[in-house]
Amino acid sequence: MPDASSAILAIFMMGAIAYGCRISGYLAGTLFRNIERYRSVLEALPGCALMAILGPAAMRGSPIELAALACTVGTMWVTGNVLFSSMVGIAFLLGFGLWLG
Amino acid sequence: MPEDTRHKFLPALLPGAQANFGFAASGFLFGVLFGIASSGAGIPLFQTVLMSAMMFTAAGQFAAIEFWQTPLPYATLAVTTLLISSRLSLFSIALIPHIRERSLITRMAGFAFLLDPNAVQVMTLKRSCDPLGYLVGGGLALYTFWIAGTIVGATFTNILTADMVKALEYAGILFIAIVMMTVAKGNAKNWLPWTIAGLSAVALTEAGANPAAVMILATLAGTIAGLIKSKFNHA
Repeated sequence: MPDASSAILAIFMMGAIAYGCRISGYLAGTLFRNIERYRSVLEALPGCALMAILGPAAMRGSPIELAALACTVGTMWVTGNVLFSSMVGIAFLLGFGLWLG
Repeated sequence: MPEDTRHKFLPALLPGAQANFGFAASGFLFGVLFGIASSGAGIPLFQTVLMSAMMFTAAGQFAAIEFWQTPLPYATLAVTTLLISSRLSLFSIALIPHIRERSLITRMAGFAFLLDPNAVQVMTLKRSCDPLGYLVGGGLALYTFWIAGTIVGATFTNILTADMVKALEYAGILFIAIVMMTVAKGNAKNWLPWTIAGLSAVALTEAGANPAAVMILATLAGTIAGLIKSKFNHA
């Protein structure tokens, strides 16, 4: 294991980078005077980033994982309840994952 | 006449926390999983909790413990954190039209709590609330549950069996899917860029690109599609 001082230095470095990512988009965007013109594109950005993660994840998922994903999305669509949808998906993963291995 | 609360920071904290409670409670579970994984990698409790407190980004932290060895590969850790957290810069740029008031220092301090769910909640905010307060309130809820989950997982490492941890490997994707559903419900007109981004990501993954490049290039493809669509709409 790394010594404590090296580990803490690495943690602070990663924390600084994560924070830099949090503010960099905002700071860079405010430099553009006409950023408001691109509001509709900006609104599409987070969805694009999320879909870029979900697309490949859906492709590599096992049948149980894909069923859990469908179940979670379906529950969220019908109820709109984040906690309940998460619990349904997690229960599905745990139940079927442990049962079918 | 009712008081105007649109520009008041403190009254927006509680609604922000309430709106993100479901995500925060799910985040508790991921915190537990991270605590167990970190403890399993031999990282002491203090360093595990410090990592959660400083980074506050599940994916980046799970990736970091994969490289936790002597000597620490600082450059690898830096690049990995940068690539995995790069999506947060996309969320922060998307918040520009929503968060404009207050000093730059206050805004930058508030952005320390930015994560996918609370950023999305601000973008789909319909009620009369201060957006920065709403963001920070949601972030504080997510942060508190994340740290609490980390402490529980790192302290009680046997709370979940190895089989349970393995079965829950895909839980992070379910969490992201729920965030996406929140985005889609508030702004369904953007289906074209989202579809393009998703399909591009699949194609790039099939072509063997690394995950960070997939995310950036696919997001770019979706954004270009959105830009073309908005030009057509205005033509």
